[in-house]
Amino acid sequence: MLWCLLIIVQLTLWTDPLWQLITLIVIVVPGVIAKTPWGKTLKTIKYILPVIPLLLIAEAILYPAENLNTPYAKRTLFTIGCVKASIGGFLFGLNLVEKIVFTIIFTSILTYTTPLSDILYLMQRLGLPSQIAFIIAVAWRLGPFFRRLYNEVMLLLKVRGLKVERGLIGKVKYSIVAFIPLYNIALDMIEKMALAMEIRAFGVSKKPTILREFKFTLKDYVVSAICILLTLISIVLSISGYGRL
Amino acid sequence: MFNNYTVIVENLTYYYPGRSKPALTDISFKLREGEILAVVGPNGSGKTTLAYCLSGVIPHFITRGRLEGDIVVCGLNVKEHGIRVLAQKVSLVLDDPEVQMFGLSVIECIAFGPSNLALPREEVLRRVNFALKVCRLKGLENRYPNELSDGEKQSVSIASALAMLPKVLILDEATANLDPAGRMRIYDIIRELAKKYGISVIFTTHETEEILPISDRVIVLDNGRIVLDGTPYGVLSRRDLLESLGLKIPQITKFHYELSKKIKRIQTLKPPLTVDEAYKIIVNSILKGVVRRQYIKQTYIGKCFKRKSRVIIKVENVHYSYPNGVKALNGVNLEIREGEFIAIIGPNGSGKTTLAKHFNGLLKPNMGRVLVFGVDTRNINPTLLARRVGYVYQNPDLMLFNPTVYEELKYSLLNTGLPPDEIDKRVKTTARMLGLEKYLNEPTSSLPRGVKKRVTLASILTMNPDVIVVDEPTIGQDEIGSLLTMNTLKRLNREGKTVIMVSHNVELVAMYASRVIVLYNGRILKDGNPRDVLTDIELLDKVSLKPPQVTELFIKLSSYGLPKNIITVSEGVSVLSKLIEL
Repeated sequence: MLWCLLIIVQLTLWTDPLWQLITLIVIVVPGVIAKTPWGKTLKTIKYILPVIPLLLIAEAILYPAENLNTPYAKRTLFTIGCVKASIGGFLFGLNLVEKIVFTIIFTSILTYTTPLSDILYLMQRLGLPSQIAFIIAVAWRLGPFFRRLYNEVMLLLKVRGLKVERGLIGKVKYSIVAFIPLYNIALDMIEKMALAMEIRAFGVSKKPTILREFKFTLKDYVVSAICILLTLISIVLSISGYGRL
Repeated sequence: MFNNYTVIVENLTYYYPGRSKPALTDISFKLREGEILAVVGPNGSGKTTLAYCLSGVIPHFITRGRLEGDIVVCGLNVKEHGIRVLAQKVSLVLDDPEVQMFGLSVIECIAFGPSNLALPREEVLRRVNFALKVCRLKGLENRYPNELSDGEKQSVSIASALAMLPKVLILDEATANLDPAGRMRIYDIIRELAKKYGISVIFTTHETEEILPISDRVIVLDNGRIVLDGTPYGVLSRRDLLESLGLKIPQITKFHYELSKKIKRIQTLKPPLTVDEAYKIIVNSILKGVVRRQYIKQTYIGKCFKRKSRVIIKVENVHYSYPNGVKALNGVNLEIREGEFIAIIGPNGSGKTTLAKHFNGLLKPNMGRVLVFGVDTRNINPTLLARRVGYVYQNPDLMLFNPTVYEELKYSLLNTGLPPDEIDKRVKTTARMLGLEKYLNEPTSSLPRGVKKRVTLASILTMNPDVIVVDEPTIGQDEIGSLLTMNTLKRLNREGKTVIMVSHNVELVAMYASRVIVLYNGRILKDGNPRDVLTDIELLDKVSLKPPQVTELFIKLSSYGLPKNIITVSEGVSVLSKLIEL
């Protein structure tokens, strides 16, 4: 949790893309120690790659130069007609891209290396309503189930002679038909789940029993101390004007 | 009040909201500690409503209906105590395990109930351990629920009910979606719960074969009324009534009935529930004194499929893995000839459905190829192929998307260019064939599951395909629906259609198929005639299937010189009748 806090603080404070690279180090080092499957992690980034150039150009043009602190940042990057792009705006865009990419890497590391049950227990320990953890757990388990059902229905529609029209509209039409059986199944499941929860006394107690006990070891204390220290240093540096455009 | 009775029901009548006809009428019975009660009846007879009333779901969850009479469970009047109080005395297990597992590991799922009661952590873990042990889930504690087999999932559901330490456990069609191995696992658990821990068990089902031998008592429901109440033997002695209700009678009991028509001296004996009981009856009443002579020995020659007809589907070294990496088919080679009636059998996860989906190009092989009518399935759109190879999926809910049955049957024909009157004619003919005429204007979503299954079959048959692939044709259907479906398939097969069915039901396989393919771990383990396959005990054991009861019986009787390759009731009756005539 303290590691999460450190990353959030750094992502928020640094606006200089160069300084933001420190956050990357803070993310990657524990990721390496936790043996993150980097292939899977990096795969998740590829979906936002097409957006990155657009974001950089848009920020370079649209970001107001008067918001920038340094003369270097206020300098013009290029001019096309009446459109003027600033270096600071471009760097701000770069920082935004870093924030998005680093957040994806950080959440991927968290999901690939930490069992969801640990995250949910932590939420319960932090005093969040048990219902929130419960909803996440059920959604997590039923997500793949419904995805499988959806794929199955899409296949089975073909044996019913449904013609698949090409293009986006065709796909949307096809998905709408597939939605009908899924909707019926989901309704039935929701009704039964509500019933099953009721007969297992869900909601009887506001504080259900937490099964697992977390015990801090020396290693945990050391890591916590490092995280707190780095968070404080980051705040002090930021207040002193470092890491800002 | 609570004299050893865990459940007392007196004059229970229940009306669902807005209905003038009661779902249950004047139900009365008592249940003792450790007793196993089977509540059987056809679809819509009121079994689930009774389960809901006993567990307090009615009137506390389904609140707007009208409940008359009294239900007392472990001394608590169901009307007066909320479902959460009752939950600690009576536990209900539903048919679908997916909807009753609330956790990311087996332990979490089982601990869900006691955790909700905010019991001390040690007490929750004590209960979890007890449930794990009884439900044979030790070693699976930390498994993710989606990684479990269907039988294991339902065991987790029972374990989570058990962790509430109930005195009464109600299982509502809890084995409906399981393969034979999964079902046997659940029955073993039930037996132990009742006999060792004194828990009263109420089991609702429309399948009787496996539940009756372990039941102490049976209640038969029809139209919300108790029509029979007694011991399994007493209930089974009313064969005509059971059959008229569409209830399946254990094959071994049916064999006894048929045999008693030919051999009068066994008519007075109580009908057998198990193979062992039937064995004793036959040995003591028929074979006693019969000299073991060589001429008693008879060998049945299995039905042979037409080798001469042309090959219409050719599967060549097919490998298939799902996107999640699960390898479903592992080098399958197969030729299917025109006019065959093929059964594909095997345990859950053996690749049966995956193979069936290759026959019409719904799935394309990762390696190898499938030729259908000479065309590689990779080069043809499944929608076009569907007109020649019809496919009926096991879960009808995934195949129905039209408002009424009529429109559902008509749908597949809309793109064929047929004139409207021809479409109407085909729809009505197919509906008549499968007993669906009275449902034509009904909304599909409100139909019983068994009828939905027939609707999906009908929706494929309207296209008049050359090959019909049916996944679990009788699942969820009562005996009448099952026979209707199977006889329709047989008739179509006689008319020249090729039928391929995926099934766990060995009795159906014995009665209808001309060829059986056994799949295991994505490979074909055996491909032969039903007689060879269904009498190969070692093979069936390996694939978690049991032979038909009558086959088991004749294997036991083979020490008396009787043939051991009997696979149907009529064959068995014929052998023993001839023996008497000698």
